Amino acid sequence: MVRTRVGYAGGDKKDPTYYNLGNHSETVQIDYDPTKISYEELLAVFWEAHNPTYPSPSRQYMSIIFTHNEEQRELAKASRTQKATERGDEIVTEIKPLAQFYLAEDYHQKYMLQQRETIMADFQRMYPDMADFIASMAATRVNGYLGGYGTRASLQRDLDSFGLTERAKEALLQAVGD
Amino acid sequence: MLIIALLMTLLISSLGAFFALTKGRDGAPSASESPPLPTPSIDGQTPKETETASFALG
Repeated sequence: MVRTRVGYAGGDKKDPTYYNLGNHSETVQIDYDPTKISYEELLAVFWEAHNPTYPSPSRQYMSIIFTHNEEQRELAKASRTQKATERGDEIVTEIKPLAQFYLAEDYHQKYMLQQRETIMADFQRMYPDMADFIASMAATRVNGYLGGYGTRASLQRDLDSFGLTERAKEALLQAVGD
Repeated sequence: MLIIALLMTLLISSLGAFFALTKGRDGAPSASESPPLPTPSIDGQTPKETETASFALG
C-alpha cells in the first residue's frame, strides 16, 4: 500500500463537503504497487472489511466498488459473483466506473494519526503542506498502525523509516501496544 | 496616564497569550517554531508506477 486518502464519490453534486454531501458516498482511495499487491487481493480485503449484504438506507454509507478501468470492472464483477455464491445471499454492492473523486476535508485525512499530538507534531515539521502529508507513505503506514493494523514486529521493522524523533517513536510504540 | 498603563497591561497580557499559544500543551516548542524534519526515508522509496483503487464500504 503506497498511500490512501478519503473523500466522496458516486454522486452528482459538485464539490461536496461532509455536511453537504448530496448523493455521494464516503470513499477510500488507495494507491498501490501492483508488483506487491494485486487488485484481487484488495478486493478480498474489501469484502472482509464490511457486510456487503446489508442494504444501506443512506447514500453516504454505501457498498460500492468504483472501477478505474475495464480490467478492474471485470475483476470486480467476477469477485462479486463469487462472493454471492459463497454467502448464498444477495450482495448489494454496486460496481460503477469512478467519475470523480472529491478529497474530503483535511481533518478526515489520516484521522487516527491526527489524534496523536506528539506524532503529528513531527509530521507537521516534515510536511508543513497538507497535500504532502496526505501523499506521504510514512503517514499512511503510521495511520494504519494506529488504527490497529499490522503487527508489533512489522512496526519495529518499519519504525526507523518513518523519520520520527525518538519522542514520537516512543509515543507510537506506546499507542500501538503489544 | 491611567489609559497608558491600561494599554501597556493589555499589550503585555496579549503578548503573553500569544507566546503561550506557540508552545505545545506540555511546554515543548510547537511544530511551527521547531526546525523542519527531513523527509522520511520510506517516502523516498515510493514506487513511481502505482495503480489506484476506490471503494465505499458502507
